Amino acid sequence: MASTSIKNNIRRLRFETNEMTQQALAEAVGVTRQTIIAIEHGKYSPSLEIAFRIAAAFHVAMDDVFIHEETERPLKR
Amino acid sequence: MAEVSTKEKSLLASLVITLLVFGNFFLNILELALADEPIANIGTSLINVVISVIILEIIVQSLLASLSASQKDDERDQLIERMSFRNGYLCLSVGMWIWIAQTTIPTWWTDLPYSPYLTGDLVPVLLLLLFVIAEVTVTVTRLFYYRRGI
Repeated sequence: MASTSIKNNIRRLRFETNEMTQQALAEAVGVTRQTIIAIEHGKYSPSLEIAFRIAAAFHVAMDDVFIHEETERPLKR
Repeated sequence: MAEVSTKEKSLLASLVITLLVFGNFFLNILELALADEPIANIGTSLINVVISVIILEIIVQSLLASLSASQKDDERDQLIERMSFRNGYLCLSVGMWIWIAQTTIPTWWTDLPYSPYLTGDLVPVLLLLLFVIAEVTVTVTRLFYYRRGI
C-alpha cells in the first residue's frame, strides 16, 4: 500500500522572496503565523485552497512549493 | 522547544482553571461520600463552582487577550477544534453508556455489581463530572494537536 508524504519549499521560497517573514506570508495567504510554521515543519497539510494561495504569494506553480513523495508500505495483516 | 502560541496559552489557562476548581469540588464531594456524610446544598455548591469557573475564565482570558494581538481562527484551528470535539463526544458517550449499564443492568441480572453512587443525590455531580472529563479531553486533545501537528 502506498503512503503519501508532502514536503514543501516554503522556507526556501520565503528567503528567495526578499526574506519574506512568516507573518507576511500568513497575512498574504489569510491564515495565522502558527499555521505557516506548522506547514513549514510538515506538521500540517493545508487545504488545496490555501496551497494555491501560498503558491500565488510566491508567484510560482504549486509544484514548486509542494512536493508529493510516494513511498511503498507493506500491507498490514 | 517551539514557542507557545496565544491559543495554547489560552487553552492551558482553561485547563488549569477547570482542573483546580472542579478538581477541588469533586474531591470534597468524594470525601463526604466516602465518609457516608450527607451532602448539604449540593445545588448551591454546583452553581458556585460553575460561576467561579466562568468568572476566572473571563478574567484570565481577558488578561491574555490584552497581552497579545487577537487572531482569527483559520482552517487548521477549525480542524483541530472539530477533531477535539469528536474525542470529547466519544468520552462523554462512553461515560453515559457505562452509567446506563450500571443503573439498568443490575435490575435484569442481580449478580452484577451495582454502585449506589450512580443514583440519588450524586446524580447531578456525576453528570457534571462526565461533562468536565469531556471538556478536559477536548482541551488536552487540542493542546496535543497544536504541539504535535495534525
